[in-house]
Amino acid sequence: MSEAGPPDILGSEEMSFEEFVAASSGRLFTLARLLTGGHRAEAEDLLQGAFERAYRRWGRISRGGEPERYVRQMLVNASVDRWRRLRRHPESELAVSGADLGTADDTATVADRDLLLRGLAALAPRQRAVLVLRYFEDLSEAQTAAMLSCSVGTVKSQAARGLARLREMTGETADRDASAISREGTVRHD
Amino acid sequence: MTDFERRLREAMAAATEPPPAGLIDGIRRRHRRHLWRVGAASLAAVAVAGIAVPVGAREVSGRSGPAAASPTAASPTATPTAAPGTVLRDCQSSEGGTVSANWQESSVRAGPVWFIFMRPKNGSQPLASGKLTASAMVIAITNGKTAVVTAGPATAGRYRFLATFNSDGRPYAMTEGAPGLTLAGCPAGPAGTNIPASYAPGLTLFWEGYVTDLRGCIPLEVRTSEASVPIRVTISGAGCGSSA
Repeated sequence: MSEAGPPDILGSEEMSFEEFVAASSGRLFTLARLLTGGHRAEAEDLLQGAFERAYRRWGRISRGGEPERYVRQMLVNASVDRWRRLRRHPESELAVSGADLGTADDTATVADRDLLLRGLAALAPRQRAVLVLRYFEDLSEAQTAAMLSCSVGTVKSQAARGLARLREMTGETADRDASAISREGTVRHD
Repeated sequence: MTDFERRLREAMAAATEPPPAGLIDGIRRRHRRHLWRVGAASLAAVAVAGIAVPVGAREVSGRSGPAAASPTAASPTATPTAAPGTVLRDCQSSEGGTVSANWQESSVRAGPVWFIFMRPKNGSQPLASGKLTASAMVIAITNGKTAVVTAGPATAGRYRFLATFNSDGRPYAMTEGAPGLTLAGCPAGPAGTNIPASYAPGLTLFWEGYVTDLRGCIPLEVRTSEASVPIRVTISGAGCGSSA
């Protein structure tokens, strides 16, 4: 996996703040929603706050050429701060109801995705953030560790535990992917 | 990558949805609240530290005195560069925002430059040594103008401008600052500015940090060109107080 991370949508020095928001807000809003476990209001608040901080320093940020990376870091920092304010955020129970599944579409795929996202939302915030950064942002373990200000070992263990818990909550049989988790608890990526 | 991880990745990728409507307006409203809070906090800090003194302080247009650092080219279309020994703040590093009504009454003007909410309340407190502190103030310059701000000779290099400042309480050293500040306003007119015209029409705003171990009302000098005489003003500092 590349150490550079996902490229910014736009990095031009000449880009206006409004253009940047228009180009990046869709993906960043999705990131915020995933980080907050699907809470739309919280996600909007996080995103608006991160963009506002970027606006204060827009000249320097846009000159740096990676404004989206900056805002992404602000989003993660803000979500980490939120966890700290809440002190201990207990893991939520995942309500699995057959009637709730596949409400948007009856296909198995949609139902499966819905279940996975609700399982993700029910994880502890830190485990959720690790999984979102690893699988939505495609960051490497080192990049994820840097963004969360923790060690690579912590990222590995949080990812392994998060995936295991997600499997358990979604009724997935661990045997299917058991080979992917080493005895040290690390997740193997092809 | 396992099948489970692949499905999780696909689920996240499929979770996209359009951003909330009115996001830009929300960001601007939030930014205005931020500027209001910053301004109010600065005024409160100055008011708490203020000492009433009897002699009225007024901004003075100086006609003599040692020359300050020379400003760079005044053309708004030229790429601004910092005068020697100064920190450059230009359109790219400006902060958009609003200032409250009647802000001029509490501010100090020196040619095209405004030190917002920095007018000394009622005195010119002599400079004295004190604890090293770092803070920030709002400075504005007329769009299209360039000026160089330096601390007055009386400060003996003990008042310095910071290239960046975060009000997170971390200590700043005097060596981190520069003795002068080059201000370059955004180009006149709406094109090329990051500040919506409705926020602070005609002005480019900066949130400028400084570090000093002085107490009292701070003398500053502003020059708008290499040949111009410095405009001398006094702004409120620790132990001086503002009129707001």
